[in-house]
Order: sequence, then C-alpha cells, then structure tokens
Amino acid sequence: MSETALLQNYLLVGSILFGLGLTGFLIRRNLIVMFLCAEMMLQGVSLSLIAWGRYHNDWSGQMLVIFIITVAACEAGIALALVLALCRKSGSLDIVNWQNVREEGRMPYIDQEVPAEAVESEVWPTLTPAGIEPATDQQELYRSNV
Amino acid sequence: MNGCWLLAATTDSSSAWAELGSKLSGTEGRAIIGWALAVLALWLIGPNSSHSRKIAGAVFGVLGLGVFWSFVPAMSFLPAESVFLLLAGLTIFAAVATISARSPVYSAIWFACSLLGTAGLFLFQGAQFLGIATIAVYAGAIVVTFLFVLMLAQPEGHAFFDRVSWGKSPRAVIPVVTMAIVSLIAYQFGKSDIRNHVKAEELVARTVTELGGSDAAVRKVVHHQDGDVTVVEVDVVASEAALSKLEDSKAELQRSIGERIPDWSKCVVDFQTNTDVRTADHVAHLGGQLFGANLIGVEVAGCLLMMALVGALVVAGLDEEKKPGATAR
Repeated sequence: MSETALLQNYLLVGSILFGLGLTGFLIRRNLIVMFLCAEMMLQGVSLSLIAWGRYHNDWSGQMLVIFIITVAACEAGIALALVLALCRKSGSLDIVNWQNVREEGRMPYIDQEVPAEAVESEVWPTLTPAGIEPATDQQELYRSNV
Repeated sequence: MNGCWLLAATTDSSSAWAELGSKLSGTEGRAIIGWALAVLALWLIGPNSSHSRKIAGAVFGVLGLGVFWSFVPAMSFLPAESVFLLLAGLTIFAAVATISARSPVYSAIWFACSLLGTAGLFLFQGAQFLGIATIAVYAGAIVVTFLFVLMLAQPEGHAFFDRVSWGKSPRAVIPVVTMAIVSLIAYQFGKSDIRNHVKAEELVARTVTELGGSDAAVRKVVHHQDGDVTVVEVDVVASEAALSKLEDSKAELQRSIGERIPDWSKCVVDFQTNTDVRTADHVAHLGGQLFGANLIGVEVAGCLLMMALVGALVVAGLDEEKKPGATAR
C-alpha cells in the first residue's frame, strides 16, 4: 500500500469534513448546531495532521491532535456555558436574537418568510407519564412532540 | 451557400462539442464538475427539504464525491481501500446529516456517528490512542454535554430557526464558497503527477523485497526531490545481515530504479530502520513524546483546562441568583 496514496486520500477526507463544517457553521442559526460544526472543522484538521504525521514518520502530528482535543474540550465547556447564559437572556437558541451587536450601519436581518413545519410522518413511542391516570385517547397519548 | 454555412456550422459545433468534452474530462473540467455537483447536493439537502429533494441531493453528492476521488490515487490494496472507503463514507454521510438535520438533537447524534467514523480513520492510520481518545472525549463527553444543554435550552425540539437559514441567496452562495475550497484542494492533487510517483514507490518496494529476500520487509517508501536528485527513503524491518546485504546492493538498486523510472534517473536510496509511528508499543512511545518533548505544552494545556473550568462557571453565572440585590429575570 502506497503511503503517498494514503496521505492524499486522508487529506481529501479532511478537507471535505472542514468544508462541510464551515458550510454548517455559516448556514445554520442554532447556536448549538453551529458549535457542533466548529468541532467538525477541528476533526477535519485532525485527520490531516495524523496523515502527515504518519507520512513523515513523526510524532508531532499526533501531539498536535492531542492538544486540539484539549482545546476543543475547553472550548466546548466555555461555549456551552455561554450558550446557556445567552439562551436564558433571549429565550431561544436563535443567533438572530443577538444581531444587535452587529457592525454600525448594517441593516438588521428579518425573516421574510418562515416555512411551515412539515407534518411528522412518523409517530415515536413515548414513556407513559408516571402518577397520572392514563388518558383514554390512545392516539394522543402515544404521539411524540419531538 | 446556405448549405455550406450549415455544414460549416455543424462541423464547427461538433468540433466545439468534442473540444468541450476534452476540456470537461481534463483536470480543470473535472474540478468544476465536482464543485458544481457538491454545491448542488448541499443546496438540495437543507434542513427544510422534502424527502425527494434530499434523495436527489444525496445522488448528486455521491457523484460529486466520485469526481473528487478521481483526483487521488487508489491505494492498490483492495481490503485497505474498501475499509477506508467505508469509514470515509460513514464520516462524510454523517457530517452531511449533521448540518442538514431539522432537529438539533438529531444533529448531535449524527455528529457522534461522524466522530465514530473519524475514530475509525484514526485507527486505520495506526493512531490507536487518538482513536480511542476521540471516542471517549468527543463522543463520550462533548456530545453528551451538547445534548444536556439542548435539553435545558430547547426542550420543545423543533424551532422555526432550524428550518430557515439566512434567507435564500446566502443559503445558495455559502456552499459555492466552501465547496470551492474542497474543489481547489482536489484540483491540486489532480494537477500533480502523483499517480506516477505512487507507481514508482510501489516499484521500489517490490525491487527491495526482491533483493532483500524474506528477511527484509518494506514498511514504507517515500521520496523527495533534492535539487535534481531524487532521494528515496525506504523504511525497512530487517535483520542486521539483511540490512547490510541491502546496503551492498544499493548501487544495483539505484541503477535498476533509474532504468525502470525515467524521472528518477538520478536517485539516492536511503535505508532507514526508524521506529515507525505504527510500532507495536505505540502508546508507550506516544506517552514518551508527550511527557518528554512536549512537557511544557502539557503543563500549559492543564492550565488552560483549569482556566476554562473557572471561566465556564463565571460565564454561566451560577451565583447571580444568590446575590441579595440581583435582579431576577
């Protein structure tokens, strides 16, 4: 198995993961999904680092990935505390609620149209609520609202 | 006259078509096709897309990935290639599902699946410790914390801002830019004559195995240019006797490489018996590196974790409610 071929395949997977993470970070508005996408970009970079480390027979690539994981853990801790604080202030995870910190002279973003929620085709099982007499309407009871 | 013009036009157009076909099958053309397919796929697979649009997007995405993979050389060992493609496919599919799931809970679960794929890719490279650490730290701790926060902050599940993006045109333009990055990287691979280099490295590995006999196993062959001399580094696992036999036949080896690979007519073979990253006591070596050469980094990382812990408590503002004068929200 050729090492050069292995390296190039890994670099391509890494770049695709990075590109997908960047796409998600820019198009999603949910704070938590944005952070997941940032972590995905880190994963793409980690893959490239490990591939280079093996190609050059050098441990530095894996060392860098260990430090990336450490920094990602710190970032996740602080970011989630921040998300929780922001969510308590604004009442939702929507990042549009924080657009009043934008640059001076920029127009605010206002949703032109909000598509209706698609009708859920699947009905998921839910746990029976404890301590309550079960309702007679079985359909209503077993319909999830997730 | 008219007929003449028509004939000229048809020959013109057919030659134009042929020219277009040759352009599109060239490296630039394939990069543009892969780019277009990937953008189309990401545009179709949105959080609010219908089932049929998502399937169409998946088809375009698979085609785009196929075009991107035509730029990199194959691994020429079928089991390795298939395991790699399986893991890479899982990773990329789960990544696309993460950014296109309507419910953020599903996003987090798909992200965990993507992490399992990445951990598998780490193991495939021989990075055992990091593969397990990724599962333990990312999938075990970070994703679970994300899910906790989701359940605290958005217990109702669906919200309208998960279905809309920043309007129609930014939604269409963003994949164009991000996929251009991927496409340019793939184009760089396609432009280099890397396929010939891969073939040449495999040839060198075969030649060394022929010369060394059963005592010498080639671990890997890499090469780099030093002026107009190609330095071929061969990493072998061999006994002392086999290694000295290989050193003796170095001149013959260099001559035969130069004969078989015209680009490497001036080549220097360099035998190495390094401790490979894939050594049997991999984790011991990793620990040695971490607490030897990178000891200061470990200390700094520990301080960073401590500060992140304190910072998270401050940012979360857990003690605000206890203050007598604090305003309730």
